[in-house]
Amino acid sequence: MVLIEVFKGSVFGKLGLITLAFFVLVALIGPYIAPYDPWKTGSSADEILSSPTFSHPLGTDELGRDILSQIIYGARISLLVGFASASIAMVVGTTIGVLAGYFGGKLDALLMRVVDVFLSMPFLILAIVVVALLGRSLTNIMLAIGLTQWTRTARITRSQTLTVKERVFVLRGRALGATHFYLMTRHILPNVLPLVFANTTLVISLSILSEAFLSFLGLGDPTKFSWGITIRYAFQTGAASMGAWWYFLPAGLCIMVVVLSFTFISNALDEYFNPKLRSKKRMI
Amino acid sequence: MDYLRKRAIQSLVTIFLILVVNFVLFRVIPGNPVRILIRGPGMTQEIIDKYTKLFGLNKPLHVQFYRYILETFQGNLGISFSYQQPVMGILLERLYNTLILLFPATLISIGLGMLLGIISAWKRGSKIDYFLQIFSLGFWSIPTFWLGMIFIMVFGGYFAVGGMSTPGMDYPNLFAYLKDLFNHMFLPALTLALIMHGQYFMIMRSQLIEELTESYTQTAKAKGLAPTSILEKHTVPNAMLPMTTLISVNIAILIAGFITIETVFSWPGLGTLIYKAILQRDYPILQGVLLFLAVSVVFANFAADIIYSQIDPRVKYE
Repeated sequence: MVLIEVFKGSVFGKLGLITLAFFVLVALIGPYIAPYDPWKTGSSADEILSSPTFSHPLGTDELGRDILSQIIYGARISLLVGFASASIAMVVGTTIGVLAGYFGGKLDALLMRVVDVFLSMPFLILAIVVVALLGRSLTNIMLAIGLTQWTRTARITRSQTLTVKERVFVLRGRALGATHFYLMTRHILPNVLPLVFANTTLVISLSILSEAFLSFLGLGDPTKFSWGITIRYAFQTGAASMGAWWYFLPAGLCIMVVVLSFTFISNALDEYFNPKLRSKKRMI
Repeated sequence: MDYLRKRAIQSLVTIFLILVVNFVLFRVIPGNPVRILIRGPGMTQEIIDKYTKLFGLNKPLHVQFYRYILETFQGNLGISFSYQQPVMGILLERLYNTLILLFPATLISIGLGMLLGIISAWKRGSKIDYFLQIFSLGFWSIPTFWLGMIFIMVFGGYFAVGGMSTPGMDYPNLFAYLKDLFNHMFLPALTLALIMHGQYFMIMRSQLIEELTESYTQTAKAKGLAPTSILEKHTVPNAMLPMTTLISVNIAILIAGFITIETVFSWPGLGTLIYKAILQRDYPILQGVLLFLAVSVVFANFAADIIYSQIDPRVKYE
């Protein structure tokens, strides 16, 4: 089990893994553990913007909706967007990186040019325009984030491919008449993937932050709750100047803890699969 | 020279492609642009035809594209739906306010990131190192607007939390104006600086550790140089090289940061402009600001690479 090896030496990696497992569990069984329907509005004046009470552990919003339930339902959307966007980025980035590195030449130059263009695009602005123009659905948000995050993956994959394709087993495979497709999927990909995974966990962090960013600007899916959307409602209600801390603190804390967890995991993976980093740079 | 020319051509191609993306995006919006522009009942076919012709939307696509490029280079970014004014004028006015906020925030974040990075690298493996890493990573993991809201809640009583100046205030002298500006700027600038310093911290730390294990550092140590003078004269200048290229890495955080932080603190810059444009579906503003920011990023990258190649001769041989 490589995974056990990876996290054996890293305290923070373990911490990240455990925290993340907790949040994933909450997201999966969310509807069963949420005390209320997050859309259910309050029935009495006491329930409007109430601070934490016994029946509402994290208080309520300006419509009397339960904040804890919003956070639990929000975990589903925030994590879903994180995983889905990062998967899109991973598939696109790896494909382009392997193709560019493996074939080299004109194709490589062309693809890397595309990467450069995407890198110099301020991708969040691009995501704003794409979602604002094409509609605020969850799919559009995932696509907008995913299709702007693949560049780093592509670069890492390409440079890994460049070294792997000169290795003896690949040359031997080619001499034996293996097809390009076979070499790329059976020989190159397995050797490139570990670093790609390390990078992808970092992309998940960025995607979760990006979703919160878009939601805050009013580009979130209005039919769902996510952590970013709860913070947006809190901002629109003026929770900060009213001192209604229970309205926006929990959602932001969740984002911070989850993003940190992914970063820890990514560092642990990176350090394991990238021996140059080991001992020398040694991040937490 | 070759490197410079290559990078210049790359940048131009990038700008051209950004123009293409910008052009295409506006044309895939569901619905007819004329209908979006004139939102109102009683639109007759006659009016639609008139405006379609006026905006040149009846011409073939390549003619429209040519016109678009031409107008863009003449500084015409269209007319804002909600302001009914040229986008360019609004943009320039707001840009000034944004820069006033971003300049000090960026300086503080670079200074803070470098300082903490040096301490962390020098004391690596110690408790201080761990604490500083958690500190920087922690701020990196926070949505900027959320930190801004916390600051408003906690420090709202001590500093102004809305706009750039006190409404209706008459300033007797420049000093009074600057004091008021500082009062308004403090919290948003602090929020941005804290969020942004993480990237500088991480790069500084890892680069410095790299340099500290290089043989020239060992030589300096063997020669009996004091640790502070090794840092100051030898390793820090070398470790700072990649910081120049970090402009491009950090720009995403910077952009996300200033858009939301301006919104939270109602700072009248490009960020609030974007926020309102989203609410009001003011597409020309969105398009204009996208184009402007994208081109600025390309220029910033280009400048960073040129500076880097000038101060680090190794780059040219790659």
